[in-house]
Amino acid sequence: MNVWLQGFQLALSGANLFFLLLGTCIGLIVGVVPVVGPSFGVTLALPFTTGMDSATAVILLAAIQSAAAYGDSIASILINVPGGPGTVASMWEGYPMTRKGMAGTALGVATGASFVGGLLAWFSFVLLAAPMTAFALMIGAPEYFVLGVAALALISIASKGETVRGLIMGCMGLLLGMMGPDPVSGVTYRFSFGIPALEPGVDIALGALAIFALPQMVTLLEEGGTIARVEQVKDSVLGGVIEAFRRPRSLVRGGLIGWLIGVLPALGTSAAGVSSYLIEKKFSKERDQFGQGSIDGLTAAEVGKGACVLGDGITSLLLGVPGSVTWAILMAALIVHGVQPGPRFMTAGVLPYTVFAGLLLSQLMYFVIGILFVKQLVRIVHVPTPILVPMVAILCFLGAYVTKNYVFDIWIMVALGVFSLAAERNGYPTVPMILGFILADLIEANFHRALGIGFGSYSVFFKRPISLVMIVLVCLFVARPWAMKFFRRRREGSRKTTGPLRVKWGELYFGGIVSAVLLTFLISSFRYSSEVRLFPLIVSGTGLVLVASWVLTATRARRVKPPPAHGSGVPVLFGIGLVGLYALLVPAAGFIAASMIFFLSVMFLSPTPADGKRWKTVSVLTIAIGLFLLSFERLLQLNLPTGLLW
Amino acid sequence: MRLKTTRCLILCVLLASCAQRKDDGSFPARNITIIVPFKPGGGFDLQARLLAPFLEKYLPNRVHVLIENVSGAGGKMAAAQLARSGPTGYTIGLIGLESIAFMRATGQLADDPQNWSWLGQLGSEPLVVAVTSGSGLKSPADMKTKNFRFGVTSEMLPSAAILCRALGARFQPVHFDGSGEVVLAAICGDVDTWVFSWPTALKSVRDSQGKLASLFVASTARLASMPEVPTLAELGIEAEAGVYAVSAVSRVIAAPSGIDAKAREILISAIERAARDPQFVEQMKHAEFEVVTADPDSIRAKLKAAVEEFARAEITHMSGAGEAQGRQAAATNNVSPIGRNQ
Repeated sequence: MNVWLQGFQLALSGANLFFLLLGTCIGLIVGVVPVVGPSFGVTLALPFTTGMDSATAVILLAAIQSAAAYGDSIASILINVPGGPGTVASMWEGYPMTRKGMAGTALGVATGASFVGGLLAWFSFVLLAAPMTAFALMIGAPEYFVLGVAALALISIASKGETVRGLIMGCMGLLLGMMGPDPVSGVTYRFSFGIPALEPGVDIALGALAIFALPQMVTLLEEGGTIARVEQVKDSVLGGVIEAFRRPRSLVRGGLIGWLIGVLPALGTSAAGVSSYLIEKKFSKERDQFGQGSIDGLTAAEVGKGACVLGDGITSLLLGVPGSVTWAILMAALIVHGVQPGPRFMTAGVLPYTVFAGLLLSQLMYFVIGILFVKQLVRIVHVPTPILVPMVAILCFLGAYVTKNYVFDIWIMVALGVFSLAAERNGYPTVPMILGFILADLIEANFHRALGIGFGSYSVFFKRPISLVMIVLVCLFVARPWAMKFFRRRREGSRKTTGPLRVKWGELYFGGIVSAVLLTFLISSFRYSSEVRLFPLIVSGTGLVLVASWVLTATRARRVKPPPAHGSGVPVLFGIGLVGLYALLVPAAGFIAASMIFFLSVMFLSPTPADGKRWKTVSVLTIAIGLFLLSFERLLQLNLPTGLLW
Repeated sequence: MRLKTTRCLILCVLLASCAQRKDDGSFPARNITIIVPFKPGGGFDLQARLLAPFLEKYLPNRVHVLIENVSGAGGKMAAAQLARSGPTGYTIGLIGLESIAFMRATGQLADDPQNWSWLGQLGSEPLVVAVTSGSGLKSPADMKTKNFRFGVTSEMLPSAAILCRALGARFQPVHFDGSGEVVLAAICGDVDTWVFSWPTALKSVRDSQGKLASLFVASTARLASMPEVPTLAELGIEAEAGVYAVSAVSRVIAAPSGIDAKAREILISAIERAARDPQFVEQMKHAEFEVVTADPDSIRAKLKAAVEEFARAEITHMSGAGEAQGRQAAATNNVSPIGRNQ
């Protein structure tokens, strides 16, 4: 008990409170920028902490991490652009709420729920550290594999009634995740198609950004107007916090799932938010409201993420195995200050307790500051889209570039984004795609790892008790709907399918594109050795079968013309063209110049009513963007791509 | 309105002063970037970030040293980025000498790294092989007779294969993403042995509560930090010199070939002085790294030996026991270790 007191005393003394506040503010700002999240913020701050005393350093970094993880939700909820891979699920309910004029409530729910998640994880950290690490040690490669396969079942929940097309998109996501170094030996770069920049594969944060952000930007441009569909917004952030607190069931369900995923080192926040959300969708009482702004869904997604962010720390600090990139950096910071994370971490004097104190205080801090901060940000839902969209696009491009410092990542984002937009417009759900993407490596790597552990024998999956139990559970879960149908049919007789199917031409064309992509992957798989091609073959083959079966049903359906495009803004193809040009301009003109040109062109090309002030506004804003990017580059000491103009 | 204009003007002035670069012809006239071939959080990244402020201290002119993480494709992306930056001296890389050697030996690097401008070394850590208590492996002789599972990361796979060849052992490789995962799997008993640079081995064995034990160090002499761990030769294994050339993680600093001789001298001396700064050595020690500097000529000699050994080692050994045939085609195209992180 004494060490706890000392830890809190140290954390609260002197300048540490100031650094707690500073870290929270930095974290919030870093979090709001799409893609750029906790790991980026912590990496940037790391060099400044080497000169500080260890307690201050840890508190600053913990504050940045917690606040940035929280701040990621803001972009997801307000503009439907994932702030980070952990907050993808927050978009699905948060953004519909924003459209309805409940942005404040949604942000309040997010604040409250992620805070509860953090608290849950913190107390479990402190009270259950020993059993938790023992649990993490029991979960090996075979168990992870079964867990990953089980999680694939979530695709059916995520498909919004379009199960076949959901599964097709799930296959696309799995294949996307299989690009890059193979998980068998890490020496074959799969599906790079001769492009060196594709050899590392696609980053999960970048993938989430591409799949969700780009379609959203083009859609917003098309619609014109502002994000909020209603003129008057009368809701309060605090009310949202209370709403979240009033949902103990959602909090407990989502929190537990997020926390468990956090404790397992191989799973991270991207899996936590999505899984908590989808499982909540299965069990919530307001299931029917999901997709239209269900507070239950948002609460679950946020509490799951919040619990996972801290849950990741359990293995990081107590086993020395980083639970996430952010924790790897926090561990590095601790090492520099002479404390080794690992089984003997808690015996290293007062500092470990200061770390825990810092983690708790930073949760409290972002909770308080966050409520004040998001109140100001809610206003952006009233910014006209011709101004908002280019700004968000520039931030997305910035985020896409700075994670790995490749210009090519920007092009990947645009290409994948266009694919995702086409999918969305043609009734192919994109949520299963991100799910497949998240799970691909988990499933494949752990399958081969498990075989290696079992000296190449498949019996390894059945010899281990936990793995066996999980397999049985998965089989029961999968078999349940069929079994129930079987019994029901006996009693009621078969039911007829609903009315004649209608299919748009675009849906068929897109099916063709998907099968071409699947075929390309299938054919290129044959070049690899037997183990390396196993999973890509299975997935692309399954995908092709699914597409074929869907096309067969679709050809029998009535074909209809697509409804005429709605919206008063920029036409879709034009919007895509603008973003594509921007991507091409980045290496040619330099990042800053390209961003300013992009902004100017969107402002002038979007059909908004002209008024006298336009020139002035446009030029001031353009200069502001240039200045922002320049100061971002200078202050954070980054190298943005330069070109002919800059 | 006037107020706004004034604000704008002030901002512009600030911007201009910010953007202005001192350029009186002396090197360095602007910021220097260190490329790190890994994501933040690993050993290379940590060392680069520790080094940066000391490099700033010892470089003439007041410039900043920035870190750029160019991760992916086994360090190939970082090598490409470094080559693309041109011989200006403003972009340097903190890279793994052995991984560069492996990439060269397997034909993945277009230009010969022998010609690069080698600037210095922060450390060179021999590899230590550790075994789990439950594996029944007590000596290199056991490895010869028993079938065992070798936990590897893609960085360690080539060295693991070469070490096993030297021991005359066949092994079942089990591939993981990072050293932490391998160590965890060993503690659980899912793999029987692993190989990492000694600082990682030291920490992992010490924290394992008796579940792991260091078997031998792949160097010619015992380590000062792990004096109880025998060398290969002491265990009666006669390894060729080439084996030792690839059984280490050497963290070296390089720039593309052909940078100006004066700039190169300034960088070499600044890196040498920074690496010997007592405060830097102290911080490295905190992180359990030992600073071992080397001059460019000895780095080149080490590189040459490592390239030769990797070239000599048959690629089929990389994939371990058995299934060599099928993988050979893929491996010869694209075999690559990442620089040894962590």
